[in-house]
Amino acid sequence: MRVVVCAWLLAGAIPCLLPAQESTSAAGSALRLLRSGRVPESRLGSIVEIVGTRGNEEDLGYLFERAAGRDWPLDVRKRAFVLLLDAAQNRKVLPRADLAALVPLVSDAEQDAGLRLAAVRFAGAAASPDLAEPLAALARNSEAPEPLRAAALESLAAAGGETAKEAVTELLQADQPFRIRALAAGALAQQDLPAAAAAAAELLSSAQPEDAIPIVLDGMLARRGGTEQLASALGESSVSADVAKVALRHMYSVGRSDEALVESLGRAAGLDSDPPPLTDEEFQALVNDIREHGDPVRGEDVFRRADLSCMKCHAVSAAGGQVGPDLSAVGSISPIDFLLNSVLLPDQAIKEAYITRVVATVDGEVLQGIVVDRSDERLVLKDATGAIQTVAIEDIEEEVEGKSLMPKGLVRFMTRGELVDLVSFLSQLGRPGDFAIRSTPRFQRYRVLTAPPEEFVDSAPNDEQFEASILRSESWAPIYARANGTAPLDEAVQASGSPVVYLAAEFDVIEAGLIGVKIDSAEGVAAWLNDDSLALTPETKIEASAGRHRITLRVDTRARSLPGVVLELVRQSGSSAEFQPVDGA
Amino acid sequence: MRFRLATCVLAVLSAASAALADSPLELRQGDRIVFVGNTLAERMLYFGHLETEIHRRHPDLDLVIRNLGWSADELTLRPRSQDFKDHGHRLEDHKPSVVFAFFGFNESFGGPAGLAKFQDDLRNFISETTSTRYDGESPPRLVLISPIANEDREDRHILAAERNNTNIQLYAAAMEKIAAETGTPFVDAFQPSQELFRSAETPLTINGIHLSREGDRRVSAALANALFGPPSAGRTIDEEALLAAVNEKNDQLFYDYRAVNGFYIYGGRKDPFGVVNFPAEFARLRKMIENRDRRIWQVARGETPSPLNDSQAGEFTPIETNFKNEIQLTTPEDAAKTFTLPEGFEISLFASEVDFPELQNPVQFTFDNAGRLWVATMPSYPMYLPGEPPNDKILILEDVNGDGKADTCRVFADKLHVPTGIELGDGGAYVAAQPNLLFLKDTDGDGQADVREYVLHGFDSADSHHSISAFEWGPGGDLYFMEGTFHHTQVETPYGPTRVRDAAVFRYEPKTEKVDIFVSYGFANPWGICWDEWGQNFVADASGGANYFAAAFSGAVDYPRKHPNLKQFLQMQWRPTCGCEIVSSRHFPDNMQGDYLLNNCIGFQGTLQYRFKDDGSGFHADPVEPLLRSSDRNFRPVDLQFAPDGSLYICDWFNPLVGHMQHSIRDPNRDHAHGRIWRIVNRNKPLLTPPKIAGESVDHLVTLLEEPELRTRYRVRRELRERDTAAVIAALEKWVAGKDINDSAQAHHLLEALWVKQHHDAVDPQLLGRLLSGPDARARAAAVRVLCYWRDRVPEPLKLLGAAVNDEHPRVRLEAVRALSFFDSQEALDLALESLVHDQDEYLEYTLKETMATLERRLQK
Repeated sequence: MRVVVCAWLLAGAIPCLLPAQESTSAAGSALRLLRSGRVPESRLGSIVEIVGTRGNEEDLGYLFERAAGRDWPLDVRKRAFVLLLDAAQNRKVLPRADLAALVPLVSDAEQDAGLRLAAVRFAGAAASPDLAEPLAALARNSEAPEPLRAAALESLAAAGGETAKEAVTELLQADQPFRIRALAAGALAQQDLPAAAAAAAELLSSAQPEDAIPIVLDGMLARRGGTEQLASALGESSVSADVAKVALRHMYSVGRSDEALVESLGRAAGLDSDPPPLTDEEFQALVNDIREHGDPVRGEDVFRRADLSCMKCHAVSAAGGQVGPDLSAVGSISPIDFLLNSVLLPDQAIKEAYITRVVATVDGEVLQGIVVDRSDERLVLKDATGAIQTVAIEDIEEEVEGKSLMPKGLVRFMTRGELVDLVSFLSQLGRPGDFAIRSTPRFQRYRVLTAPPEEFVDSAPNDEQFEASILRSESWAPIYARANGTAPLDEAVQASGSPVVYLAAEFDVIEAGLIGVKIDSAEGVAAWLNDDSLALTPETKIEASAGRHRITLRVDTRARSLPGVVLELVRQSGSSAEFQPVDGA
Repeated sequence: MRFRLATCVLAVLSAASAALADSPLELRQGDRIVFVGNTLAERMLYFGHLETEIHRRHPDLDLVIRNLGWSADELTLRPRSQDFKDHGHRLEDHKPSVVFAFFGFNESFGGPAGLAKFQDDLRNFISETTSTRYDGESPPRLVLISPIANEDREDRHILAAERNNTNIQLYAAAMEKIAAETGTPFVDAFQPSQELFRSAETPLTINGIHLSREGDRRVSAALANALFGPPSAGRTIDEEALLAAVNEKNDQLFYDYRAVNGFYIYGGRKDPFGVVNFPAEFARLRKMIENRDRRIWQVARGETPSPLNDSQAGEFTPIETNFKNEIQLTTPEDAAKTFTLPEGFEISLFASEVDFPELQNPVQFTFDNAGRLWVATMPSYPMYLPGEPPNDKILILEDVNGDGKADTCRVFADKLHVPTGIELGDGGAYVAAQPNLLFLKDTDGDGQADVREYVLHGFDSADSHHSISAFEWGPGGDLYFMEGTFHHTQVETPYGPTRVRDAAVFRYEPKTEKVDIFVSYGFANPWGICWDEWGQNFVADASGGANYFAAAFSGAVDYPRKHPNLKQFLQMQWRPTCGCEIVSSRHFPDNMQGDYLLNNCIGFQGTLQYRFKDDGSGFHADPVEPLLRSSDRNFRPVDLQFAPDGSLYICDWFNPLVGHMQHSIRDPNRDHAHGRIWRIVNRNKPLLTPPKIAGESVDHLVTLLEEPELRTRYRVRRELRERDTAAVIAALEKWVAGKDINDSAQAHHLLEALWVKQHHDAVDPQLLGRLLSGPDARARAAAVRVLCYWRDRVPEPLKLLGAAVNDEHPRVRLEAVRALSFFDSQEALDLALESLVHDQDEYLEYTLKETMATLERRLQK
């Protein structure tokens, strides 16, 4: 039976008197429950979730009308638009309703920003001709916040048509800011890939290393054939070596090694092209070198280098990226030839949980990642940055077993000696000695304050200043201790751009009690436990309540002779406290 | 084109005339006969009767018979692990001149609605099989064999005949009709098997659907008679010797066709190691099989068979290790010094290969009801080497004088192959025997298994260290075990085939022969399951070190769908893991009670400990001080269990090299000679006096259900399971009389009584109802789980669940939403949605989403 949505129900005032629909979907059950009057407003979100994720066009029509109307709470309306967009993209179901009702939401600058953004994004899928003008106006509006403009551009491109083309062309012009041009190039890629590739090539040629180069690349990486087109558009154009390096690093960090573009950028960056594969003898010679001459300490420096991005994906001693396998014990289980092969040919042996899929969609999009979830309707992938992407099964034109997310050609960024040292380091991980798995509750994951306030570089903040300016700051970047637990101060100095660094480490207390905090040396160090200063001795005893705690260190590297900091928690005899450092990415 | 048509007509005519003759099938010199089909055929590989009957009727024909039966196969559904087609067992590889096809049983569960599809599929199958020149010369002759009848096993409440025979008959009749239409020889196995069941004094099936050894013997004779007439009276053949020769060949065929580690032989991980060692191994094995064909012919002809000589079967490729780390095999004394434990604990050796050389590569252990430790060992891991008969064992270690050290070691069973799991019960032991589940029993009291019976088939073995493992009873008498990814498993049951791909936890009710996929989830390689005080269970995925709250993702899904990612209940510290256990021992410190123990076997190498807290409808666990850590690189804790005296035992696989994929399967540094069992005690508290369980009176046993230790009650339920149902029920009634459900401890006693009744499949709606409406939410949640598994026999289950979805406690609601996934009505879907009126959390949302997905799919069918 067809769903009958009555006008007064849409207005939200009077319960519907018409017979309930006889749908076999759970959305039918959910709408019946909603009509029963038993659903308190606080539970409305869950019902909306069910209807949005499973409803047919009638059910979604109801959802749309209520989202566009004003009587539902703001967060529920926002969520409804997100769900409607997902339904349109991944289930190919559009609400049966007058979608022009979106126009005021798109146009009205006084709207709640989040609601407006959600509506703009959905507008792309709604593809109503009435929406083209308002979207184009928003995309052009230099006063509007960038995320809104970007969303408007994307929705415009998705909707297509002349209005869209005009606006995109206008925003590609040199008088626009780089980021907007980069976004416009990405939008253009959905309509006219060769033109977009030309635009992207021009952007890269004129870019400075600090420009939004990743946005330019993302637009092309997302399209089937995009990187080839970009590579050929780049031709002999003069991308600066630094820009090319940033671009390459970005590609590797998202797990892409598309040959033509890597080749082209590699040339621009002045890197050697891929060497021919090793012969068995060369391979064996390398293995012998690793065994006899490899320096694992230097190898760890290679592992930690930003341009190789190893730590973006791999953790050691539970601290580091969570995309690839944790490598804490890899040396104790894997022989050197296996490890060397894994670096040279990441695709050869992939642990079960890390096998990837590559899909190309009917719209020419390309996605690559580890399968997080697959149903009849959709495929959910996690890419090398940990980002989740969803694609409708119906949209998949081609799907192949992917390779490892680990970039191939990493060796191009290394000398032979560095490769030898790197594999030597990996082969030591988890074996007794300096690279064993930590055996004490030692901190491995820290946060470093990027750009600390100038006034607190030369003098330490008092507790109130600390709480307001340091503890509450949002500019913290991850930094990981070396395998032996030493937090490297040189890296911290580089990240904070100051000789005085603020390092934070967290721990969870499961059962309250007395805990020792041990530091290798308190020289040059001031500390806080949560928002109270902590007089640090080599082993300081603290009484900790259950819950998460944070230790912040202010390290004046000019006043410290050691190159790093080792901080750990110590179990106290007779104390029943149970605790654990917080690890992870 | 014209030529093809002509041969086709000719084939039909000659086949039709053959079917009309007395013998529907005339065999020829050197015929190559291949069996394909479902478990009926597969079990014939293990029994050998039908082959023997064929040979004795054709002693001069030098027949080659290859049984490629496969558990639960259907005409158009024969899932195999990756690239199995490359292994050498397609019809093109075997080049049959005759094909015996055993299909129709699994298809018959499609009922009248599925009949049309079956008929189409059968026509296509006949047409394809009888027109393809598998040997390159001419298509094979095809024989269709109908499914056998099912047998009611009233003694076990399995009414398979009543449930299935109407449909089987319907499908068998359709086969007969199409066979006649197409002129295909057809043998009806239904009628003769039904008559055999009627006239036999004891059952001829093990579970209502699968023939026992004796049943197979009789049915095989009937089939051979129908096909070829009775054996000629003129010749005497040593039937026993012939059967032995057939089985000798089939033993080796089994290791070839059902080779474990297929993923490393021909599948996704054949590179870089498998391609080196396996070609020579299988060349040799196939020569060995041919050698055994010849012995069959000799026996059939009445000759004395020549002695077995495989010396010309080929050499193996030499394999060098790629494991260059220094190997230092520590003695037990030295290993004992490598452990770190929290204050107050100490560890000592219970048994090692030094005193008991048979203790090699122990993988799972369990205490019996008399306090003896049963250990599954597998020195043949990773797999059989052609020509070296595997001799893995089940050992019984006993500490006779109670000093914490094993004094004796007896072999309960030997000649096993990679037994990845063991649990005791029903008077014997359930043991993994990939791809089967084996039941071993000592019936004559000599301490050694004399009954060996495959009770379930079809668990994939594409990766021998992903095969069914970590056996454990649920509180209600269902046996749980699990398998890892790469596997395609299908099991025939009296209720229809159960299938799953790429990892699962299984739930097997030996009493009723139900096999559920308890969790269908994309695990890498689960290896560990445990239950808390109130019947909530937890699953540990070894490879990635992930740990899950089971209620949330154990609702029903229909093959091939799987549950999507579920959040883990603890933050993984170290991977990989192997084995989990809940602390429940008065010998251990009070603050550790209820903690989750988890072994780590690479890297950390010890036993991690986590403390539970409620997390809405589920749980969360935080790490506390690890219980054990070793600095010995060889220490590989793979199982752990609390002993009757409250100490904790740790099973140590002990091996310098453990990577399954990182080294050649034949790496010479894989150790096959060591194994240790360790024992952890708490110096600050006395050991417990082990409660007497084995052989105790039923009245006494039920009172032991009040003991605080989970493992004690586990063993008591396992003991009660084997006792007379009426006596157990009577004792339970007496024991629970007057128990007050308003008291938490006594509510728990009532729950224990319910679980024991579940063990006995003694449905008790009244006791269930009491627990469902009692004041303790934990008991209500546990009762909903039982209700789920009794749903087909409790009146108005949906009404009970309707109350539970509106329960004030989120865990009860979660159990109810989960249970609703096992139904298939709009009412069930509406009820599940009702839970939305109440507060949600991540687990509730997940489970509801999964229940909706299952029910929607069923309703839209």
